[in-house]
Amino acid sequence: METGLTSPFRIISDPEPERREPEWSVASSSLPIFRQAATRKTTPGGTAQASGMILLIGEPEQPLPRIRRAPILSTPSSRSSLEIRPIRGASVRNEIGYPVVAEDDYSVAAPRPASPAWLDFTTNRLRNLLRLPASWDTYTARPPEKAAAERALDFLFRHHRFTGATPSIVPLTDGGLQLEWHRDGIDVEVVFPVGEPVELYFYEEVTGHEWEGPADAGFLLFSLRERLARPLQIGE
Amino acid sequence: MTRLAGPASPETELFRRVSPDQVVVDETRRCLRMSSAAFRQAEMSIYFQDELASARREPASVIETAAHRNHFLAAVRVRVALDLFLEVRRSPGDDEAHGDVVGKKSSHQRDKKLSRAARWIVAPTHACREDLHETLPVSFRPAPPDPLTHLQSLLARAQK
Repeated sequence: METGLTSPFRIISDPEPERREPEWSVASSSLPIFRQAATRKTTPGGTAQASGMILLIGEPEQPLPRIRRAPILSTPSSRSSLEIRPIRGASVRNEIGYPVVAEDDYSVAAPRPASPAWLDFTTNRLRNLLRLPASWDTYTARPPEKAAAERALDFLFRHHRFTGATPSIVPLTDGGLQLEWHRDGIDVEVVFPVGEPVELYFYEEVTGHEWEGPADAGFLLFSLRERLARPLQIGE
Repeated sequence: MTRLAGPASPETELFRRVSPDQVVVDETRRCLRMSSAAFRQAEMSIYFQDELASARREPASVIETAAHRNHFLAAVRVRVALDLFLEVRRSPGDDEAHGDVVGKKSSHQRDKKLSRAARWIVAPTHACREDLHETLPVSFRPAPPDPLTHLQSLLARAQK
């Protein structure tokens, strides 16, 4: 299946647990709002490389620790697009979209210059939505769940281009979330309900074509990676 | 006041509060619109136009309390709900005008049809013009900050 960006959340199920060092796992397991995200692979020569992002999508419920060091080696090629800084003393508190790359001397990269165009708005919006209280709709709505925000981010990283259009994000009354794009004569709505599969709704104004079904399949079926990355034209 | 009972006329408007968090950006039309999520509930609270009128209340009275000061108000006709095989029933509690639109498990296409047919009575600034009510008076409240920021940034990009 063709996908967009590599999902940044794979480190959570580390394929080589024996190579993981304690500092890495402490950061992700003890901080509920702290998503440590990295991809990792081992080269034929036996060295490993990792890169990814740390995303904060909620208010810190406790002070975030400083990352003292990162456990995984990187190859020189991975440095070219990243500005590498010494990890010692680096704090991730209140940082959003903080990409990291672990090196052989245990350092962490500064924010990667080419983060997705939609990331800043999306993470800020999710953070605001996660602050909503119960009954935010003045009826009986449940507050949005962190798991729904993570599913939405994961979906965007898997399917949406770096240059993709920023989605609108709305809360659902069951604690879920919904991503929406209304552009270029199409409506795309991706629904992340609590405890149910992710669904996509598609509508094309010119043809009147309407479709509803599994989100992964729908995104591919209607070439939404490409269609949602088309730049806006004046007068379009 | 005489309480109304029984089915409402198909042309009666049903008013629903819309949370500021359920306003989204329409990049095609460069404006703000209501999300279909505002209509996604198996049992959806609404207020009957006929009941409000008989009590000489304005539609906007259902968002006049402090708890609703940032909310908007949308209207959809009884006929639209009935066409989608939804039940429209009166359920007065704290408010005599209160009712519910009830259906089986929500479908996205159904929610979409409701939101497409709905028209603003109290709209956010920068609301899409086509979504304003054609006959009832429409008033405006400030657009919610997140969608407004989103809209402004895409307009700025388009100007470049």
